[in-house]
Amino acid sequence: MKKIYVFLIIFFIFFSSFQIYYGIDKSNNTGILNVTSSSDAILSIYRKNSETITIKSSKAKVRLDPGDYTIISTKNKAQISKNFSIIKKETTHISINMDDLISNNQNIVEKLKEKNNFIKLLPYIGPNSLFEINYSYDYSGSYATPIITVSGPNQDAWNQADDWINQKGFNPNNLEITYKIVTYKNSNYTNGYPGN
Amino acid sequence: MKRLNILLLGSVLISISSLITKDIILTNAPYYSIPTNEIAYSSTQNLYNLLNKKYFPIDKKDFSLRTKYFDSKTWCIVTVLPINGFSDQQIIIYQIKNGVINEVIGPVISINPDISSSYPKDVQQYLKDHNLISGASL
Repeated sequence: MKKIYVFLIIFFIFFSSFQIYYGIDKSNNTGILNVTSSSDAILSIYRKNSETITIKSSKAKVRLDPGDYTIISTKNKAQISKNFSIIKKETTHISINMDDLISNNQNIVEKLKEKNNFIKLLPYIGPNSLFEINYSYDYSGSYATPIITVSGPNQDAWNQADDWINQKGFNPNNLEITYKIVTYKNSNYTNGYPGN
Repeated sequence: MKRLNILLLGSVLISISSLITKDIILTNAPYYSIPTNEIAYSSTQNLYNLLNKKYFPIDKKDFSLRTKYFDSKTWCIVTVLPINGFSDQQIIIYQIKNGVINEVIGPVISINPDISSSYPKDVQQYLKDHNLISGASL
């Protein structure tokens, strides 16, 4: 019984010594990252040739070894990443605002929905082949974005195209339409399609 | 015995105090060690490229990695296990020469048998055992 007591006392003394040593060592050889992101965001940190660690919090104050890192804030599949450096005994502050990005993404999705509903009506040739409304796709961004084009010989034709879009329940201002001047050689096409 | 009891109680109190003191020294900022892992880093970057760099997949949130080494750690098969339907299961094969990691193939869903025939026998066997060889032949 006495031996167990002695063992436990020695164990606790070693444990205490280690804790103090660990605290002093890490305090002297690491730097602090103080990061704040939008609520509900998840923070992930990685450096070259390392694993990624995730802090399931939108705010964090952590100690890291000196070096170059990348932090990624993720919320609803939207991400913002920032590179940062940790220097011994110094604090690096990072603030990430994801609200603008998420709001922007939501606006993009809403606009895409409206555009995608509208393009179901296309292509459309106006009365007497005065204008044509058509679309193509831009694949350069995060989403395949429809590019809607109104082609007509003058402003009056474009206005008539806008009137038709309004009649169909869509707002031309939200559709980001590209207007093109096209003068048709033959506007008396029997099937309504403008000739070249 | 009473003296030992007091000493034991004292050492327990010192241990608790040391934990609090450590937190004070570290200014309540816990230390995070980020383990070096070139295979995990390379695999994550490969997945990132697979997604056209539009979304950085997060380890343990979007996927987890199962790593299997062969031939004295000169070959490695990484299986990317998706979480919550993040993607299809993917595999990446690496060859390690003189400490340098080279991607042999991947990320792919499965490997064509004509390609896998050039790999070491135990690598081929592992691929077969885990149904990672595609049915079609070149």
